[in-house]
Amino acid sequence: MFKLTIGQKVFTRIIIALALVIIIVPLLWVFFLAFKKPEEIYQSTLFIFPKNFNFSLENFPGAIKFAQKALEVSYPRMYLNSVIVTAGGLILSIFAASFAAFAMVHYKFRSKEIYYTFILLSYMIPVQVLLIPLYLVLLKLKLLNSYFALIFPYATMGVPIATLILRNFFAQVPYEFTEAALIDGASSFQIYKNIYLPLARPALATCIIFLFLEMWNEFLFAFIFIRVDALQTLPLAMSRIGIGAKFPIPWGIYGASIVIAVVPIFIVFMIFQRWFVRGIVAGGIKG
Amino acid sequence: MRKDYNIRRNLSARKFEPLGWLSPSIILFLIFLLYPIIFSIILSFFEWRGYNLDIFGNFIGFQNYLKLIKDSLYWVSLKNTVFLVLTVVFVQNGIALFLALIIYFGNFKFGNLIRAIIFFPGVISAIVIGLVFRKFFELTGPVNVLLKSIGLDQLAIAWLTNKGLAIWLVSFVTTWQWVGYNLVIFYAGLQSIDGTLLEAAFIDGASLQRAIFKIVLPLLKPVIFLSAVLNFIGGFRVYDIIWAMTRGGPVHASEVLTTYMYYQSFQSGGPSNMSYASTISVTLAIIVMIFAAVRIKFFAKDK
Repeated sequence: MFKLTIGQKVFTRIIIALALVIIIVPLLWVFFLAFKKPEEIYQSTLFIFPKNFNFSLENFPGAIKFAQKALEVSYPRMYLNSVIVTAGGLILSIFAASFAAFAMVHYKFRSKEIYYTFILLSYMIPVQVLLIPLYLVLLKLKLLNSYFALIFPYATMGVPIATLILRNFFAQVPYEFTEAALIDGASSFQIYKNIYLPLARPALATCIIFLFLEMWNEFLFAFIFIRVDALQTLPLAMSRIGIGAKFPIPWGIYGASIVIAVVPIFIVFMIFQRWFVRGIVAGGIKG
Repeated sequence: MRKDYNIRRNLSARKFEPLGWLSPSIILFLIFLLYPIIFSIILSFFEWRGYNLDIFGNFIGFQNYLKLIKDSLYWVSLKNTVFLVLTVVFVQNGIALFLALIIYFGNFKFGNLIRAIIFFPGVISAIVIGLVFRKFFELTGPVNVLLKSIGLDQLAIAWLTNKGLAIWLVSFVTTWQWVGYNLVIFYAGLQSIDGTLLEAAFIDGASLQRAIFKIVLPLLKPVIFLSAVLNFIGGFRVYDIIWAMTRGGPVHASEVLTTYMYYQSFQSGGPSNMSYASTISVTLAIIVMIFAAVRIKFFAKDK
């Protein structure tokens, strides 16, 4: 489209190279930390690059043992906990949001604008405002220290943005489809199920990715509402190897623990990369 | 505009149908959003320490709000919050826009890969990112090893326990993590620009700089504005990264409103002043909601 001059070409390459180095080096450092033999860690060039690349897995059994001893929860259990609360929150919010989005597109009703404004506002509310009352609500409902202590709040946080994304998509479904279905005597639920949902598959995927990121990485609610070791989600358990850790943790095991926490999301990211980008754009611009 | 949908149906019977569809979300909102917000606002007018369940036993009017004004830690937190917000709104957004333009016009062979790499930190939990950088900036960590290796031994300090530096480092790491997020949004905005406009400009002999300033940036204005508001609201909510890197320390030097609110309420060994913490969170919410309203207004106009 546009031919760069030599100077521009060099300039753009330098800037991007610099950006990539700044992004990659801290990540690479942790990666090398995890795969270096404990005695080799201090011999690295600049403490980052290993002198000789003989990778060892020695740190990983250490990290697994450390989790069991110091965090009182195993990695498979952390993952299970995170999967359960994320999946629960996702299913509930997609279910509620797709219903609401359908109502906003399919019907005319007087309070629609109010509902819409409310959704836009609630999407941006800082969750800290909810923290103390939510704690009391969950206490009253006897849900503290259970998966539901996270599933319900996560679902509620997810509904606004999911409704906005789905509503924008539903609004593009041609009205002729609905009309034809109505003439055939279809009920509203059939129209929702057989026309809107199947057509909205890309929007659903976008929503799922966007909400997945928020719920999978959520920390504050988990930190306050979950005080049982066995139910710790991944970010919650990981926070305990940082500041105020009860047990000293060697560099190598520290690195290995981070790698164990990051690798699965890295794989998910590699596979669904395009969807991640779409999710962010939809959540950022259309929200 | 969509026609009212009433073929072969009795309108009055359909009046409550939308409510049925909205009810799952409304139930969630009522219990887990609206009630807590109202509760928080009301609680800010009471004195409740969280040791007993007599929550609304001691009405104190605006005293919590008056206390805020005299609370120097509140002002430190507010100052740090504003600093962090300004960083993510201007520095992070600026870098992201700059990089997006460079990738867009740079004819990179691996443009997609470059964007994916810069974006990747955004998918990792801020807690884990915090763990990485905590060690990175530690006294014996790689930053100091690097500094010593080039002879700057006197600069090799314990970065995160330095009162003046802590909030700068938190801001740096926040920018590091989220710059790719804004980059992706800007890049999508660039891709939606009509390419023929640019081509015509280039055929007419416009320089790249001129095309960017006269065509691209004006067209990108709505995206830049939305991204700024997004970062603004996001900046006020930052919690995890500070918790993982400094816990608001050393001695509250990097405290922001969210961490200070936690310190006042749930922090073990802290004041456990639930109503005062609510007051802090209400002021936080008011600031964010003002800007949320601006965004909604802009968004409505844009449509």
